[in-house]
Amino acid sequence: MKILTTVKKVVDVELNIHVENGAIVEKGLQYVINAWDENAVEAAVQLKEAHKAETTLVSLGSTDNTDIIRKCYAMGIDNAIHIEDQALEKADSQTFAKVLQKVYEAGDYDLVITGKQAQDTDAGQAGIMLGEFLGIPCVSNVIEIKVTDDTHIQVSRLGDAGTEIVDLTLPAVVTVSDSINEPRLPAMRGIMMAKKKKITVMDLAGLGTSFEEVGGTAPKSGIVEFMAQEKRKGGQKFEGDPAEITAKVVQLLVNEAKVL
Amino acid sequence: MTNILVVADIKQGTLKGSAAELLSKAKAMGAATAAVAVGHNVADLAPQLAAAGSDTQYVVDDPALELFSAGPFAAAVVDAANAFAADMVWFGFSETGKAVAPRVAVQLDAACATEIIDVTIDGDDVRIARPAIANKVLQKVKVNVPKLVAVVRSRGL
Repeated sequence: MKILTTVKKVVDVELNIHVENGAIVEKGLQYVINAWDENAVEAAVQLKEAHKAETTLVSLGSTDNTDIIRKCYAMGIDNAIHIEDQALEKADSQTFAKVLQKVYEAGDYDLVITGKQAQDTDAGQAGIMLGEFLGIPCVSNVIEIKVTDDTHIQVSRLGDAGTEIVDLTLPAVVTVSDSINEPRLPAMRGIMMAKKKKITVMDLAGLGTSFEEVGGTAPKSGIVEFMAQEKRKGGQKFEGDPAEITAKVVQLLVNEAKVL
Repeated sequence: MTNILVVADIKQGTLKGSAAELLSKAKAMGAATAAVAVGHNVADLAPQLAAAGSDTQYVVDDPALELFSAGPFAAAVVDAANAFAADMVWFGFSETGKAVAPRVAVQLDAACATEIIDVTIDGDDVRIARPAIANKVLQKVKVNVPKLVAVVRSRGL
């Protein structure tokens, strides 16, 4: 089984994020591997260990992603591809999915595992769109993957009505929840070996495509500006006669909150 | 006039409140509204969708839709969207919505936005607002194509 997994370098959401003049203030930001993608990598490595799968990682972006790719190597990934192209800086989910489609088609993979969303955009679209563009089955929000045989897997996903069990014929795409596993901490030996492993780096032209072909020059939507979140206003506490309080609260709901 | 199709959230045969909420918002924006119910034994929900504010109701009722599967669900929504000539398709905030909306957007060649909390229409200029970066900031996004598929946060609009 050949597995393709994806990782994105994202802003560390544990830090404070500041907005000025409609843009994120870059000063003080740090970038890390997307948490859900780390779960995807762990899922791929577990399948490799249990079923001798070959695992390949792809990372897209306009920045140097060497650090996060080395971390994934240390976790046990076999091969890594970095599509590094400045044009991808402003790519939307559909464009990312189109680029991933090109990577998939160049590699003859059986299974694609992605995080269910990226913690910078919180969009949750690229993996599902990849399945749609490829015309292959896709299940999102997966919490367990079992290999049935060489051409079938069974996955569990968290749905609205509870856990759903889905049989999938490969090739397929799954996007994983953070409930699927606990990503391992790489051992020192793995970290040292990861430093020597080759990362295949190419731009979109090297992948045999262009920003225009993957829809990047005509995005279906684009971010106009960022704004700081408004801080939630403190609540009000009322004490005293219940009848008077009730009348006062109703008056506030009608005239101030305007919800009645 | 903008045509907005609302996809009904249904749990164990019961219509959830998001449909009425989204239809109310669509009406307040001056849109023509439709609602689609997808599932099995959901035909009885059509009058409720009408009472909730939809001008047109679509029901896709099939035993094969009793258990959720994103592919057939998306196909049903796309059929309704095409029948209504929908400019926008709105899903309530649910795992179903999040799983289906990107597929519908690809099939309709539409923009896709999840977790939106506001949408404004000024002629051809359509903009949405949504939180990002773990809810730490808001994004204002301009839609560049005629169609939008959106997952709307509860009490977001």
